[in-house]
Amino acid sequence: MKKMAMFWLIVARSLYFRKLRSLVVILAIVLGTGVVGGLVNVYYDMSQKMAREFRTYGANLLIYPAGKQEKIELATIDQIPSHLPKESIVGLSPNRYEVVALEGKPVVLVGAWMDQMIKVSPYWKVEGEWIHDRENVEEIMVGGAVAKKYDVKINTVLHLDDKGKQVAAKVKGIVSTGGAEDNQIFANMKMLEGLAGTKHADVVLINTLAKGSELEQAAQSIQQDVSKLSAKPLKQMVNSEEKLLEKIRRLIYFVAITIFITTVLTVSSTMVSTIMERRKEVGLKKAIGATDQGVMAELLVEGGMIAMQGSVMGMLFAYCLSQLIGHIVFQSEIAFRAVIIPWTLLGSLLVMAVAFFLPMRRVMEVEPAIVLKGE
Amino acid sequence: MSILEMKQVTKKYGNLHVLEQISFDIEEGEWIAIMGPSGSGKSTLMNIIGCLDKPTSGSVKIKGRESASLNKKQLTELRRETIGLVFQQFHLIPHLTALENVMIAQYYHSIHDEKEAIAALERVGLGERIHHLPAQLSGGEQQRVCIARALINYPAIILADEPTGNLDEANEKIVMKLFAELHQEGHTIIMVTHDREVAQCAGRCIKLEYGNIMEIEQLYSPHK
Repeated sequence: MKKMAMFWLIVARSLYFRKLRSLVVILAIVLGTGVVGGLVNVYYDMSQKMAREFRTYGANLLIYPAGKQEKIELATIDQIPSHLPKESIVGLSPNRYEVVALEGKPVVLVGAWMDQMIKVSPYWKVEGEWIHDRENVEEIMVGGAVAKKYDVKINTVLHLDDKGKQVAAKVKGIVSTGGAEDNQIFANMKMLEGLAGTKHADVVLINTLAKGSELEQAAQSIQQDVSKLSAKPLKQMVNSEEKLLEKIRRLIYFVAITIFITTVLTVSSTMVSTIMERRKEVGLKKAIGATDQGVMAELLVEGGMIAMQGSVMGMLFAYCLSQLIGHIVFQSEIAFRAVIIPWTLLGSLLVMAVAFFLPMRRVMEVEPAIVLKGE
Repeated sequence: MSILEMKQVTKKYGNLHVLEQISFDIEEGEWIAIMGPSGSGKSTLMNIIGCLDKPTSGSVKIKGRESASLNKKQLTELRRETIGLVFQQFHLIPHLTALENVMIAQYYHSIHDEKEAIAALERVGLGERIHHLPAQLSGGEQQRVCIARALINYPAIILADEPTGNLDEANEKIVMKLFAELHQEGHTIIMVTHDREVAQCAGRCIKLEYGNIMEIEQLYSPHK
């Protein structure tokens, strides 16, 4: 016990005596482990954050009739969610396309679950309002080109005609996408069914958080288990998502490795000069009876203490940095992963171990007779 | 009884013969001065006596224990048990106080005892300076801390390498008085010096030249 007290006194005095030098090493470790830890933390959270971000680009899974089937029976739609990972569905809507007449001219009327369309196609630019109720059969949304052509405004009542059967609906929102939607009219499926007198869907659009192989598996599973349905991931979307994540992953690895090497070099150069300055001290300790192992233990514990301080502060820095990145890039908080703690600690100790290795070897070869020689 | 016996000790570095067939005995309680010009082999002889180095051939017995055949670890152990080192440049650990610099020698030897370390510093006249760092002490005071550290584990031999080499005249007198007192108390002292006046305090003076003993001069009776 008494011996340990003296050991810690020697270590503490030495750390305090070289506080500025120790501070430089601690700062290097804080920056190194902090940036690496922060990036890794962001990376862990990023997959989910990015998946949500990508979902604003719309549906990534398309369900359509299998084989010679032309239509999807609405009853089969209920079977779809069980084939996707739990709670991964952001939005799901059947779509049915019918050509109706507006002021005697043909226009495509899309029947959908309008409460889901905001989730399936969140990228739509809407003037006015979305329709949030699936049961609403009195309001519609109109594509921008249609609105322009027929001088349609919000609250204008349009009369749609399907083979003599008419329905009047008030315009709640005008949709602009720059795509086919601009030439279409959107109504709840229930309104279209009333107008056409039949119930079915042409496709089902799904916006899901599942990605990559997970999404491929879900598509295969739907195809195998739900008869009359085919499913395919919208490749362009899925691939670009995967590619972007892969690029970010590589960038993080590259930055992390570069920072690790830079930290090791900074800490090594400081440790080399610190330890080499202490050759006389080491020689003296050996001369007055210290064993090589005893001296090594003192130096290693000193290094370990510096690494511990660096890693604790590095973790705080990693947390702050990941929050900063989260707010700047994703406008939200990044969850701090507990797995970062042992890795940051291990990283700091590894930096110190690598940085210590060469100077330690040389210092252990110190011959007291040579370094303590009088002049 | 001989506390140190050296027989036919030779030390070679490659083809360079630094010590050549050196033989002498030192009795317990003797004060020996070792003199010689630079390159005469004084430091090598000191290192061999202090268990910091081993001879190429010959026998070195310290308190009856042969050191020439010991490995590094055993030499460290023998040095720790039997030798108290005093250096020309004091070699105190800069971040430890005077007291801690003495206690560290106890710590490496066995277990530290603060009261005993304070007593050792009081013994060398530094009772009031125990909590001072080396940088806050004069050269003479630092050398006295070094002597207290050398004495703390009751070594059989105090080995001093030019202990007054870095001191002014006043501090040299204080330190030499201290050595004289230690000698009076029966300590065995081996001291390397360039200073003829310092060497005159010893009982015998071994004069080296080109690695050989040129003369062993009896200055006065060892137990005077």
